Amino acid sequence: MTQTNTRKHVVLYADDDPDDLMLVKEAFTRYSDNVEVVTATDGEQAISFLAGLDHFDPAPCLIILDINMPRLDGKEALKRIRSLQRFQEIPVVLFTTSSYTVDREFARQHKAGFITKPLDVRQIESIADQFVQHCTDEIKKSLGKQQSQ
Amino acid sequence: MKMFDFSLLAMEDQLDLLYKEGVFVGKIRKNNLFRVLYQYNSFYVEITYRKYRYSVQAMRCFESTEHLDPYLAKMDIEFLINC
Repeated sequence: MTQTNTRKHVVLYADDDPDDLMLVKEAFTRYSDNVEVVTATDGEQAISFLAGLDHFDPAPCLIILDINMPRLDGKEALKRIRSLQRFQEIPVVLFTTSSYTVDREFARQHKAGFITKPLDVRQIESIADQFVQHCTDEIKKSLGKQQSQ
Repeated sequence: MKMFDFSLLAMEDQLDLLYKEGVFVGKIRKNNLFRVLYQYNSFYVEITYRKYRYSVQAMRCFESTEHLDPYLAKMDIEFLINC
């Protein structure tokens, strides 16, 4: 798991594919003044990170979960996150190669967004913005200010 | 859509169709070359990237399952065996 001490907004991203982890981290570089991407390589690690936060630690502004991961997959991780009172309303996005309606519906039922992993540069260019659209209005406003500076 | 019709489309249109309706099968990496495989209708499409998910070097379509071996070799089927 990667993390540095910071007062930035935290985006927690769990994916077992190191190339996709790198891709998303790169996509968020445009928000790097305000956002740190913390990575985990499976759902268990992501849950451990959340469980390790005390009440004075800010919760992530967004959690991104791949679906197919070892140990604990993204759908199970999402269910566990929603079962924790502090994270019942936290923005979560399932980020996956799947385009199945059943997975999309699962995300909707658990109050999560659903974004299919991009296939080329046209889709990648907008991916960080698509993620940010799932954050709270307060976070979007704060990140929007950075973008306009 | 049949494979022949798909192969006549522009690359961007092919990618858009795979993005919306393709079924991801697997990914292989050899040196700095990435290949991902999608199933679309009754055929497969393999995308070779110059830069992963950014820059497509080539795409090829096929129906034969013999080209699936490198992808199948990477699949974890332990959970199926343990069912």
